[in-house]
Amino acid sequence: DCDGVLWAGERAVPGAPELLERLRRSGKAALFVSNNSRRSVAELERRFSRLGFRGVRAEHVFSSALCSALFLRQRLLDGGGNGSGAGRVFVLGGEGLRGEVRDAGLRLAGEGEPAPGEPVRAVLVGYDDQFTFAKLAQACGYLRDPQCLLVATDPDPWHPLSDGQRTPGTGSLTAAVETASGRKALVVGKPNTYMFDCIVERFGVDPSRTLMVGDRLETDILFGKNCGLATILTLTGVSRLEEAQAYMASDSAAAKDLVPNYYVDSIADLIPGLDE
Amino acid sequence: AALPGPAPADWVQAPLDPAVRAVLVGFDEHFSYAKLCQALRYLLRGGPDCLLVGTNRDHRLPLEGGAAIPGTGCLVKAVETAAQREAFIVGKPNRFMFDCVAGEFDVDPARTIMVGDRLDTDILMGNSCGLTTLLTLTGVTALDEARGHQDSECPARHSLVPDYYVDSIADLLPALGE
Repeated sequence: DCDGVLWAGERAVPGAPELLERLRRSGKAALFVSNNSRRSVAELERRFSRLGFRGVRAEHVFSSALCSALFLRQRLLDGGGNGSGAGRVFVLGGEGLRGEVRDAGLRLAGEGEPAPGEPVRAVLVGYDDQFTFAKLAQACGYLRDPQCLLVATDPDPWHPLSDGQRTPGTGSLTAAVETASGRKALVVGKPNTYMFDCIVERFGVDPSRTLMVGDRLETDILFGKNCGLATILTLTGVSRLEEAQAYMASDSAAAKDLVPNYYVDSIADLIPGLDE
Repeated sequence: AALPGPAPADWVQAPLDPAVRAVLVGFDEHFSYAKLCQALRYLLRGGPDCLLVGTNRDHRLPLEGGAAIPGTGCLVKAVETAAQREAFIVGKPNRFMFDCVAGEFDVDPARTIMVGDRLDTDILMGNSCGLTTLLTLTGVTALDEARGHQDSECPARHSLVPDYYVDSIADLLPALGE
């Protein structure tokens, strides 16, 4: 994971760039999987560089924006549909997300009335700080067609801001669309495993030799569990140690899946482990 | 108030009104992410001391021709999800509104009929408050839905079953005739 693990806002977590550098020198691959649907992977590559991380290329980065676009391409284009029959996608989200959908070869529905003959075949809900009632109503109109997919980039209810405040996440917008349409969204991001499928397809990862490092128990750690990876919780982000302990003490089987195998105060604490 | 900048990072710098002690979510065709953001700020600042109240949970408001617009329930759900807490819902099927009516008008539930078109709000409230319930079919509910709940094994669904139904509220006129 990236937010809360490698950086917080515009600041890299101290020691995180060095950790990645050490991994590279030890011949250990580092891949990045983020639920943040605001940025394209090209923007994320620039962000890594700007925050002091060396050698991270866009192909190493799997964001929910990219993977949602790949998912929609699979369902709308590759699934037997030819280019003209694929239909359009109505995106609730910013330019980063819209760009990924376009780059996947899909066409976006504009704001306002659809052109006749080009149906909207999917509504994609992402992080949309320009979300309005009007867009919600428009999405519901498209979803009256049972053939129209409802997809969400991630389930995150909120994201932390640097001063301890929170900003609403895609999960809250998806809840509104689901309630209005009576449909359940297909959620691409963690803890669901689709993003791991994308990683395996491109890089052929062996789960038994892979560690998932994240800061959010309900997404990162559960994702690791769902994909058969060992998990490390880092405490530089969303989840507190007490929350992990509470899940550990719980009687519910589902709660156990949210308990990480290990925890560290910061991802930089892994550096000594890399020294022989 | 005007937003102090284009992005959430700017919006959360705007000062909060120190007197706010409740967030009330009603039908808002001008609902936006910025307002959702603001609601979340008040709820986080106040914790349990800031109430979260929703007027109702209706999913959809039907229009003519089968179309519908999103209902208040969608906006309540968005706030509840972001804040990770549950709203107190004033509207049906909650009995709060019946208690308001009964308080003002000396209503005897045993001699009162609730007429409504929606099973999960009107009929459920009526049944919960000990009223006789009458479903009218001029609104959102088709008879099949009521029968489905009636035939169900689940006891909770039985509370959605009206005592009677009519095709239209006008069908009551003969019963009131001389």
